[in-house]
Amino acid sequence: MIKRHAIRLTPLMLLSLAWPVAAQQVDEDLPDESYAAEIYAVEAEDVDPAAYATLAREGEGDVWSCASCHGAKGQGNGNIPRLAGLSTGYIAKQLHAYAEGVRINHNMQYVATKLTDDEMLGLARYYAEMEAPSNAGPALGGDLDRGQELMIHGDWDINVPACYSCHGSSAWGVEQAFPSLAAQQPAYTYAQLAAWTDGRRNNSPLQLMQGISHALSDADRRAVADYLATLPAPPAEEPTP
Amino acid sequence: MSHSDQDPNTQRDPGRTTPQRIVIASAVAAVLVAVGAAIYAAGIFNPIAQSPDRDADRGEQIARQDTERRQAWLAERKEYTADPKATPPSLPVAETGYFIPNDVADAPDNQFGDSVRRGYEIFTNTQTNASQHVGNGMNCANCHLGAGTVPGSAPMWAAAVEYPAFRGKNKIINTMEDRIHGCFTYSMNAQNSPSGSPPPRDGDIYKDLQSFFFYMAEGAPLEGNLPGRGYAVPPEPEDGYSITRGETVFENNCAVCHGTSGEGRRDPNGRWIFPALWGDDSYNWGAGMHRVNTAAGFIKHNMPLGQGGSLTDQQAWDVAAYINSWERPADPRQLRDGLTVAETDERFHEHTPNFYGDEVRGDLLGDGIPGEPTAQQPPSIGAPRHSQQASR
Repeated sequence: MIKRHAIRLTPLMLLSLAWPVAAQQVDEDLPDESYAAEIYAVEAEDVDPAAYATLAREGEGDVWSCASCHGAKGQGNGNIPRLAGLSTGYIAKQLHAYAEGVRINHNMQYVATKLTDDEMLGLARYYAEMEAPSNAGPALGGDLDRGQELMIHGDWDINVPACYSCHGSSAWGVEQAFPSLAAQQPAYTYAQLAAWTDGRRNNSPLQLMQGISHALSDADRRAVADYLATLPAPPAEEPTP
Repeated sequence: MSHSDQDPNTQRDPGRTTPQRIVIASAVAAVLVAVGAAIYAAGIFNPIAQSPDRDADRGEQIARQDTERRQAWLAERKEYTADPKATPPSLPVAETGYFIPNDVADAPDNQFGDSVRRGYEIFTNTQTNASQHVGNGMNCANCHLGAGTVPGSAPMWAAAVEYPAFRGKNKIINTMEDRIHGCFTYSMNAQNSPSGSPPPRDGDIYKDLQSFFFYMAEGAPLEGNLPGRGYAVPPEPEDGYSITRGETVFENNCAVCHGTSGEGRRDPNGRWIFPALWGDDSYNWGAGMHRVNTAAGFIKHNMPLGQGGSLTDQQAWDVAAYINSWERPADPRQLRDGLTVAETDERFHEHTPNFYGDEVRGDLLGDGIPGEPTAQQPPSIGAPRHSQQASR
């Protein structure tokens, strides 16, 4: 099994940063977890997502096709997540997280350990630049009013900020690190909220999601997962010029 | 399975009739159901079905309890209004000891309730609902979390009962309208807004915001000095505060949301999600938050979002210093009074810990030119997901 290491900022990587304003701010001691998504997105500018379409659709050797589980349009199904419209950096970061074992899922770990870094970036862009309507809907019997309350206001009695205050006003995500939640499969969203609490997922910047998932009751998790499934799907990420 | 499992199917007991067997089977079934119900009722499944470290529906329990406490308070008040000899109502407080504000969702279905709801909308989405008077990327609710309800985040139910008051900042008696006018002038940088100024005096924006505050504060005593008001400033560390240490705190705890250049972030709709902490889109040099002590108080109790209290006092002071050691829109009083930065520094910035008028990284802080259109948003490291069309 190939052990992949957390990304390290190297002088070469610094040079690859496209914007001088940003580059002057980046130090070598930046923590990986918080910046990984943004760094992968910069790296992904050099890969051509079209070159990885076959890998996504048909697989290759030991690597199963993404589409065999996530669907031809990347919409997901059941507890298989939607990928279409997630940010490039977020998807790439998750693939690395599976390969590194900080996200536990046997199927994804099997696949991710066989992918090269470039394949991860290419597949990430392929799905980020895909736009597909929602095929999700409430499925967990969650209280949609409570879900909307958590999305828009949060619940400060239990120290839970509104979902939108990090994931955006339409829950379409914010730049690279904060993924879209809209039109996500509710069983998947629910499973992630559980995974942050029980340690199967351990890659949230500043452990932000751990704190939130600890605070949410089972009913809250079902409510918010079902509510997010009612929202329109995110737009495709704009291709890098 | 084992042989015994199959016995009933393969061996007939000649001593029992079919009705007897039915009776025995029913009795066994009834016992099993009773045992299952007892286990369920005893709640010993809960630790298995739920993580032991969190209470089931704690948010709902607290909300219900708070509602009950407010209703009890209302009943006491009604009794006291009808009979002055009755016991006066005590303060409606939550289990935490903090005041329980009215919930906007319960505002009455009349003109006042409409005003409360409009005030709430202005407060939470100032960018849209007071767009003509906002000259940066801020919303009221950025610094008053939970739509002005959260203790330690300058909650509006506590502020509503503290005005009119004399303020050293402008050395006059301030009504709540004056106070809000000040927020627009400084924190919302109205000088750079489409109208160029705060909302016109006596206008609906003030009325609606005040209705909203007033409604939340129903039952709070005037000048109550309620716990949770303002930003409780942690004691200044013995060794002072350091921009250099603050930079490390910022990179480790703040930049993932606010960006490595403190530039803030917008969502694909162009709406500001993480406010800018310095630069053209942030609060100006006249805002209270530019003071290191005030920012340290806000940060200590509220940041990172959802993890208030996680930074040490030293870290809060250091990172407050770092954030406030960068250039931001000019102090509007400098332009108003035709002053130099040095004169403005002397007149308005001498008595608080701040970097106005200081030279940091070779840059004189405070000399930003006001009134210029907002410069193009500097991209954060990494690709912005979508073209960031301005929302205003």
